[in-house]
Amino acid sequence: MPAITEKERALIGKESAPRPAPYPVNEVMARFWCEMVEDANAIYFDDGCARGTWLQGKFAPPAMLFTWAMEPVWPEVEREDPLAQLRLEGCTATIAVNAVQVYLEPLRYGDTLTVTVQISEIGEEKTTRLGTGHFVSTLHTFRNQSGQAVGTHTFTLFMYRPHPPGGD
Amino acid sequence: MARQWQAGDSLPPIRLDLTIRRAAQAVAGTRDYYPAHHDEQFARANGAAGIFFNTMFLQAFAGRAAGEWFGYDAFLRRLEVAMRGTNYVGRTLVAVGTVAAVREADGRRCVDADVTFSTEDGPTTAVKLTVQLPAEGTVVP
Repeated sequence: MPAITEKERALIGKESAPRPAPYPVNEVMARFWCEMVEDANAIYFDDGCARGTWLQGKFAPPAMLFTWAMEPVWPEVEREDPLAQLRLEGCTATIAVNAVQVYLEPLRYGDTLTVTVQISEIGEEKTTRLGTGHFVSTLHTFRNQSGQAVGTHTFTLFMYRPHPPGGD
Repeated sequence: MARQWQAGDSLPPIRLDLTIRRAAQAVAGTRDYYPAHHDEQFARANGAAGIFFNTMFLQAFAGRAAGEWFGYDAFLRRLEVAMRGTNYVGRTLVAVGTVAAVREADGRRCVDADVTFSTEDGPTTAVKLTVQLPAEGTVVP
């Protein structure tokens, strides 16, 4: 597999245009989220309980941050951000290695978010137990309807060409 | 009454069965339709031993654990999830942790915790989280 090219290198550090999240921050998706991991925290749904706290009202689980930016699978959306444009030759698979989220503000139901993404780093070619490819770091920044930054997500991904079957 | 946390305090185990039904919930609940999380054949062809759970699911479980350990009004400020192994369908996920530090930062009372997720296959995920607790002496009406 060739090393990273100028075309790929040119994508590093470029922040995409803000892309609107497909759905507003909403209670139904938050309930599905909590059902998924059996999270019984009342602060997400019981406004009476939440208003009595320093957080001053219910809000969506903070860890949902990245989910708000996930695109619908239908109808398909053509994304133009640098990550969507990144084509590493032969790399057909992607796995997450590390994710850091910082939560600046509680996300309130009804908030409409936008997200920008940039590639921070593309590593040299490496071979792991999964295959041969590149570690790619990205930064997603989330803002609310007032333009206020509400959270960031830093992802390290391994984009790779799987080992041929039976190779181990 | 808010509990006083100290570095070294242990955070008791929280368990979750990683059933195939939960994998389906995770696909829909996180909106992650990457085939490794629902297509056994694809997962195996790409080096995994089967369908496995995604990053957002692990973030969700960490968020639940933070609330159960530090209280429903502890606000998650930072969450780092490092994939060390793979969380496969059919296993049981267990979170345990230790308080790493209790500190004041920018007028915020924060607790840092080091957490490990494990399955029958061993430790799979190294998690570091920070929660902000209500200011001391906060009167809740």
